Amino acid sequence: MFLIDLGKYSIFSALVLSVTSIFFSFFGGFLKNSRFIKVGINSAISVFVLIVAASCSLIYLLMVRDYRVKYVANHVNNSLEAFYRFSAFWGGQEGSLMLWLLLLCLYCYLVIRQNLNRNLDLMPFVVGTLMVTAFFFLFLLNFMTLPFDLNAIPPVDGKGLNPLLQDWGMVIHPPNLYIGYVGYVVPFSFCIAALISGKLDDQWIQTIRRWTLFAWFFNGTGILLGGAWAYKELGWGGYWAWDPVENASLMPWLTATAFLHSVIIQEKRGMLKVWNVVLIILTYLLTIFGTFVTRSGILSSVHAFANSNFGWVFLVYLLFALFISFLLVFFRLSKLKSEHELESFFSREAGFLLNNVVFVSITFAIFWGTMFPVVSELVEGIKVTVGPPFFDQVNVPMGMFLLLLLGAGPLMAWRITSVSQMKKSFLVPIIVGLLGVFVLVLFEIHHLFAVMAFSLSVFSISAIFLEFYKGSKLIKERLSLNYMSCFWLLTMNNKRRFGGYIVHLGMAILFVGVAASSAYQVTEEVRLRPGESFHVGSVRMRYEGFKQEISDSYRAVRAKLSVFNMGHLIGTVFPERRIYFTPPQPTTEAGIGRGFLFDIYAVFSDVDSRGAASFKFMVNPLLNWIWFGGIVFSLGSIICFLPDRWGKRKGEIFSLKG
Amino acid sequence: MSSNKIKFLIAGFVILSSFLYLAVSGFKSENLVYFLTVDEVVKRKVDSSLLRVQGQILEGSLKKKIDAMQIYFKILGKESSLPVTYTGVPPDLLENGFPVIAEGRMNSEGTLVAHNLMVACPSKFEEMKEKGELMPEDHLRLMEKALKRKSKEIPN
Repeated sequence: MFLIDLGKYSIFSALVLSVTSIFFSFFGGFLKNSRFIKVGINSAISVFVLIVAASCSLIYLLMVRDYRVKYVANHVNNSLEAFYRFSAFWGGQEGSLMLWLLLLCLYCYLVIRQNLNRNLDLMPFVVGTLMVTAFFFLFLLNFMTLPFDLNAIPPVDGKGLNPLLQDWGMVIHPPNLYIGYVGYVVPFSFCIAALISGKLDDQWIQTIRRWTLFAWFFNGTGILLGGAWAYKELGWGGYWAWDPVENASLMPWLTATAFLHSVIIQEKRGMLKVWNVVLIILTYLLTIFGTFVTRSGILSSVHAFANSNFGWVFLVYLLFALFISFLLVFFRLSKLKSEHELESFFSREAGFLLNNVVFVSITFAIFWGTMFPVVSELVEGIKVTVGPPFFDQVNVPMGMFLLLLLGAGPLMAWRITSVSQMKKSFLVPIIVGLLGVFVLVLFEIHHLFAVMAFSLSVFSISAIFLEFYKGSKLIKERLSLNYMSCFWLLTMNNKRRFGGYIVHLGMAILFVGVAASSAYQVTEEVRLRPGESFHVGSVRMRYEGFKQEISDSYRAVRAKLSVFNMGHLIGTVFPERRIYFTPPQPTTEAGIGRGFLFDIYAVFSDVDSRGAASFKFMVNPLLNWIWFGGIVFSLGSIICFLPDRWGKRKGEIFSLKG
Repeated sequence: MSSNKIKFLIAGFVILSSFLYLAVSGFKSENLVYFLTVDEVVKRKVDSSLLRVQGQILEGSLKKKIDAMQIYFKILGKESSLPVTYTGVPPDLLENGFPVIAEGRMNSEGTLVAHNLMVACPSKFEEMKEKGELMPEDHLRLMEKALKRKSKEIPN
């Protein structure tokens, strides 16, 4: 009982202390009263300590299966392994909100440690804003959805975890996404602090760049992990379905991507200041919106938690944040004036601006498509939704545009690019891109968007390689080193720029995978007897037979299929059908043969007494490129994030202008 | 206003309006899916629009032709019932009396030709029965992805 009480009282005292912190931080900031500020900051740190205590007690209760607590009884059971009992902390609604809050308070603590001696005039407002968000979540946990609620009669066994979620990918996907999601609150708080205090110089922008990058990285990899899990576990052969919750996780990532680009213009040229502030605010609002969509039940979704009754609290908070933020922007418009004007279409600035317009347009298109069922029900009284065709139709052309900018942007010079410069830098990439089209047509690939995506990717990849080559050559001229070390020196001395190019490279590879696997996916459904074969595209599948297995938590039937390509055996896949005992639920484990050129995806269904079985086969061309692109993307982001001084040689500077 | 500024304004206008066109043109009728009840579908004039219907499978109406991978059943509404056909690997636990969602188009005989079929998952099924709410929507969507599942139990 002690731990349950500890948890309960911790979150209640945290609520009180968050209010204290908000009050003293803001008043301290306005009155420039350092004692008030200190009270505000210390209360925020105590909130952190209390939330750590509450989280630890909830985790402990889950580990010892204390079924007196409703949350425990609903999310674990006697047969669940320790690893999944731990992950049940974020497996349900109350726990996931706790994790949100825990991360938020942790970031708040880190921000305090990091900035106490630096951004003194901003800090009280930063802490205050962070605590407003914390207060909102504490309010939910104290009054709307209680993690330490008790069962009247504790059950003998709990309900357990959905077997679909008993997978390591699904265990790390939510916290990974949350680390990113919650991270966006920090830049938002600095933004609000800068707006309130009127200190809108470059200082706050520099402080949050790394935080945004951090949040953006985890948001991005979280999305990728989610896709990888869906592909492996859900058995429909895809990785992305434009589901409301998927969209909700993508939207803040898009606006944050836009911000990471346009902030470079603000640093270098003092332009787009209002725009940057708006992007940060939008990212924050979309984050809260995403957290809300997952829990409100207003949009039906794969990932949603149970329908809950506190949707209106989120809505009220969203409107409040929206109103206050834009009011502040409005009052500070005069301080957000641009220092320069755009000079030419063919400049780095124009490229960045265009990229921003595309990112924000995609965000709005996705938002509109996601909210359409709600709007249509309100307006016409009939629930109409737009499916993946809508999202594809709108986003594919815009994606192509992005793909072009991905390679063309870095080739542009600041302010204005002269014709001779353009010729010099664009010639090779354009030739390579056209060569790509030629090769595809030679292989009789005519799908318009696939050809476009491929040739634009090739164009962008060659443009990026050219940049690396030119930079490395410059260093090689000064130092006689081999190309590898020059490449290393170049990247390590210009981490932001060349790390960014590696991110671009990863995205171009990812785009190729997406285009090929969606344009040229082959799906066949067939019933086979043991020993029979079936052609899927260029591949032949031979059904060898099936085998039954029993483990501690499920019963399974596993089919064996040999895969032949041009007469040669290239592998074996084992699609499986399981029935879990608690909760009793069937699942499908797809048999996936991953390859460089294509994936074989086999789903297995019922078997009759003679061993005949139904199958669904898919050939997904270049699908592995998506995950490979994702790894390159992550590498690039990590390079951008590394401390500036790392990997640099003493006394040698090789930073490039541009 | 400088000529440069006008140039950029025009360019911005062109770009934004083309994106707007993209977004609006995406709302073509073939991209829309109507969420309807069984009774609404039965009363509705047959057209080619994409429908999503949810309801319980009528007791005793389920017929399976396993070798041709075809199934046929009726979904029960409040006043009427709707015949549905589906070709392909049927979802797990498709049984009489179970709640399903079918997505597809109507043919001229008044049958819904489903290209997508989903079933509520059994663990939640009991819970829903207890509460008297047969279909919380979030949960049906969970199945939507999870379910490309099969109708028969594993042979022992």
